[in-house]
Amino acid sequence: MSRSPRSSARVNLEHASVLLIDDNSQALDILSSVVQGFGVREQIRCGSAIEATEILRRRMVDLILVDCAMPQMDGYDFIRWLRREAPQPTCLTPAIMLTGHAAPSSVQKSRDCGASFIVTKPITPGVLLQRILWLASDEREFVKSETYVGPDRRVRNLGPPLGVPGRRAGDLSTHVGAAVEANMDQADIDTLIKPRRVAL
Amino acid sequence: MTEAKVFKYRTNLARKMSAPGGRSVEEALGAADSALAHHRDAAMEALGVILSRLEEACAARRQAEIYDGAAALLDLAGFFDTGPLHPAAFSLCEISDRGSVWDWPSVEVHVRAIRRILGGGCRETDETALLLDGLVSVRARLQNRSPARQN
Repeated sequence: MSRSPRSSARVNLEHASVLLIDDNSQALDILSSVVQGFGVREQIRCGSAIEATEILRRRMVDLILVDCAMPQMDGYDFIRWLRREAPQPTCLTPAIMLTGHAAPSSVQKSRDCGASFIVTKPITPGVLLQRILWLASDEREFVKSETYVGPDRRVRNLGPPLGVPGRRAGDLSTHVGAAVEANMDQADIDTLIKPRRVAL
Repeated sequence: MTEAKVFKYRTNLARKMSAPGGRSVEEALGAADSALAHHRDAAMEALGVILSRLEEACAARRQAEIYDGAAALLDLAGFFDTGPLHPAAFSLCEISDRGSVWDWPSVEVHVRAIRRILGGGCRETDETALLLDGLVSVRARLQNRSPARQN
């Protein structure tokens, strides 16, 4: 599968506000530079997830990038809070979690927290940008249940969104698309839905 | 049990990214790559500091600090092409994660290997390939050890 987006495609993040959360100030600086390179003008930087929850109670952002390992509230608990306790429509905000070591002890936590994507390091700008482009054309539905709140995790059969490199021939899509045939006549439609007596 | 609600939604991100304007992916990646390059020297220096702390923790047998140190190495190294450093730090994370069989000699071997890799500028060489092979063997040996034989 292609790991980098098509270079001819365009990315418009000029008007998007991005929340960056990492307790390591150096990692935060690096991430901030990368995101700035993508064309993001408004960045909000947080040194802790708790600080981020306070910001999100007051205002909306368009994208969240959060590190997984942090003291007090880690990335998993933050995403869980975002999906379950943040005000509408902030709780629907796309969130990418960055993780250095996906510890076996936290595999279930990462699966259940509700992140839009979990990206494991080493992470290149190409991989990060690809995930952001995927989010822009994400076809997944949002699920709210007792045990899970977040984007539908059943992405295996959908593959990457339409038009994104890496789709396989058998990948399904929820995209309806534009009509390719002439519209049906209203009379024909009425006939189709008109109740009829059926002789049994 | 309440029923699950499933609904379609369109995010502000999707709306804003579909507006005309912006820059080409090539330009965006070029700008991000060059911004990243500016951080590399400082990051390599920071990796050295983290590793020194890890060596101290190892010498003083402070078990609780090993995983956090290894994860900090991996976190920072993960933004750059650090060649063999990344798999070595990952391997140290694996053997020091909760639930793993604890073995100080294996931890020490990892920390010394990471020091050699960092000292060599994280270049991929025959020596680093051998070191990584060795770390894989150490990890496999640990994984095959049952917790009952730990003490």
